[in-house]
Amino acid sequence: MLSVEHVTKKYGNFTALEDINLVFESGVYGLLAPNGAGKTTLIKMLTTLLFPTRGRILWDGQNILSMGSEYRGLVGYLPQEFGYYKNYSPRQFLRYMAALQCMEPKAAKKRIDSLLELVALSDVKDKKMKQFSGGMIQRVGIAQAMLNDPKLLILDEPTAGLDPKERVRFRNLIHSLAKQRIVILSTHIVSDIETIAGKIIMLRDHALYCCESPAAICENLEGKLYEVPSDTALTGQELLLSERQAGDRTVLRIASDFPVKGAVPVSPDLEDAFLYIYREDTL
Amino acid sequence: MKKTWICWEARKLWEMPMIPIFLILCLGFNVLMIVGNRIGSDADSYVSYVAGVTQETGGQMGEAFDRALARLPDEDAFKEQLIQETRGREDTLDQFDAGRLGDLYIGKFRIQGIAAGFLEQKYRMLDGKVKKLAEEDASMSLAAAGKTKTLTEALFQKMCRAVITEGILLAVLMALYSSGCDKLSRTAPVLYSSRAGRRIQLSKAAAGGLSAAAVYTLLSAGSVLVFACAWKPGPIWEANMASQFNYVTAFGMKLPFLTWTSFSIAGYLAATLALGLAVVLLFHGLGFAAGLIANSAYRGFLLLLIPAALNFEVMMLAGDSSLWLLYQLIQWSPVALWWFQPLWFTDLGAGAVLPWQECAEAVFCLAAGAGLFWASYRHYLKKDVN
Repeated sequence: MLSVEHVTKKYGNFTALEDINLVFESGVYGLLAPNGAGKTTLIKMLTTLLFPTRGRILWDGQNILSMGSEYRGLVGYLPQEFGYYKNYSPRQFLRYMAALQCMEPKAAKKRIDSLLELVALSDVKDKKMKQFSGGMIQRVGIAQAMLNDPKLLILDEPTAGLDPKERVRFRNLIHSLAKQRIVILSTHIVSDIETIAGKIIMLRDHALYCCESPAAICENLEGKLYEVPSDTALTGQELLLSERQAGDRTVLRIASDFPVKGAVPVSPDLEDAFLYIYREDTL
Repeated sequence: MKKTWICWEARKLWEMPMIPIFLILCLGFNVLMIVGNRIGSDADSYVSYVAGVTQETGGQMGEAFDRALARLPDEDAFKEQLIQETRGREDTLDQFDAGRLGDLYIGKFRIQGIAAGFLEQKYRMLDGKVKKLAEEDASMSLAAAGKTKTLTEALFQKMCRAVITEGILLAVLMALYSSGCDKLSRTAPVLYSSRAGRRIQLSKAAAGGLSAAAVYTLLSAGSVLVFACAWKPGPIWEANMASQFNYVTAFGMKLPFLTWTSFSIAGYLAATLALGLAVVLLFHGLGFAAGLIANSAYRGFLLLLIPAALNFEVMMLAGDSSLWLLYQLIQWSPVALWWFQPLWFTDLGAGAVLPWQECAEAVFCLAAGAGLFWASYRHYLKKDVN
């Protein structure tokens, strides 16, 4: 179990995160917030790259900072901008990472081969990574995150730069990896997590907004969401969330606390809830 | 710090084209410098001739040498020159009073107070060593006769200076690159969140230090080999550095080259290159510490360069302003240690107060450098990785 207790992170006078309290157990957690909300800051504290200004993070009751390498050995991390050595092949890179994870060479070799198989890179395992596409690089990143069979898998914006086919493949992969471990998936792309995350953590104004299931989050918007034709004039009481194509016409999805004449009530999804909750955040 | 990690980090360093390219460029430069020194002069031919004479006569001047020299063929082009240079030579260290050297420095620079006291004490200690050199007839060593100064300048002031400076430059570059390369390649987050964590920096430092030592050794060996092939000193390697044909130029005078113990040219070369290795490793450690503190190769370079430049400037100003105590204190710095390399293992002039001060400085700077490195590493362990 991973617990975050009253964690605050400040940079001088700027507060990146304020008094975060969370508990993680086995399953997939989606960390959902707009850019700049503090997702990466939180993740970097969970991976010991950043140190909390206040508060503590515990793994099974022990402070992760005092656990040191023992804790880091339990963590698999794919950063937001996954860097690599251009002249290394995936196999070389994973061998290096296995050495840093203090894995026995023979066990590392077996594990590397099976991971490259899992992420569909066996055919290119000895090709230099400078020849790889963005999606292939991300798959190497996922493989290195899984190298030490982590109990805590943290993926920061893992689908950035992936095409739709690769994103679907990625979602399926995460789903299969989520058994018996904690997976924290940080993203601002709702579709990445709405079908696989058991709990969604939302940050707002550098603080924790909620930590609930997708259904519970969407329930807050139940009865407030409507669709209207695109030429409908909106009053100040309606909030435009998004547009979509319905057949040969465009419809607007709007939120309103009061019934809207001529509007069709619809069930909210996680994206609607995201847009509604963060409606006041400037771009 | 695991051996596997050191091997991987060394491999990352050597995979950069920078190291072999720099090595080749430096060796090329050294070859040009060594060979170029001989162009337009017959110094190397004369040295070869004297080496041949030394082989036959033993290389120690005196009556026996004069007789042996006279018996050599008259057709030898340099015979007359050698006779002129060696005729009537006497032991210059016999009855030599090292205290006069101290008085010379004190008088010329108007050194007073504690600084003058230190110098007087040093030259009193040197006097004992000079007597030992006199007992060995060190000043009567033929060396390369009239071209001895040319030979020793080419070897110690040019070749050794170049090799040590190149070693320092490359060591600093490797240190700065090594400490910050993962920030450049954006692999820092995955490295420092792994089981190894920030401790990997110790392995990087070890890999960089070993690589710097290897490169320096290659540079030294290559350059000495080229020098030996170009000058062919042969038995002159066994000549004494305190030969009267070897000297230090100061105040328009030729002062004897007095070492704290008897050194052959080969022995002095070995000692210089060995101390040079310590200086290279010292600068590597400082470069690595600068890289860790600044968290950037460029800022780390500035962090190293600015104090070094200030150090040098203060040393020059202290000397020019007759602030001799400050001048003597500032000798205990890496830059001063490197600067005075051509005078290592000698009295080191007005700046040194102890026998073997360059060795003491090296130990002091290595200890201080190790302390700084450790402090910067401990600081880095608690630093955010952004």
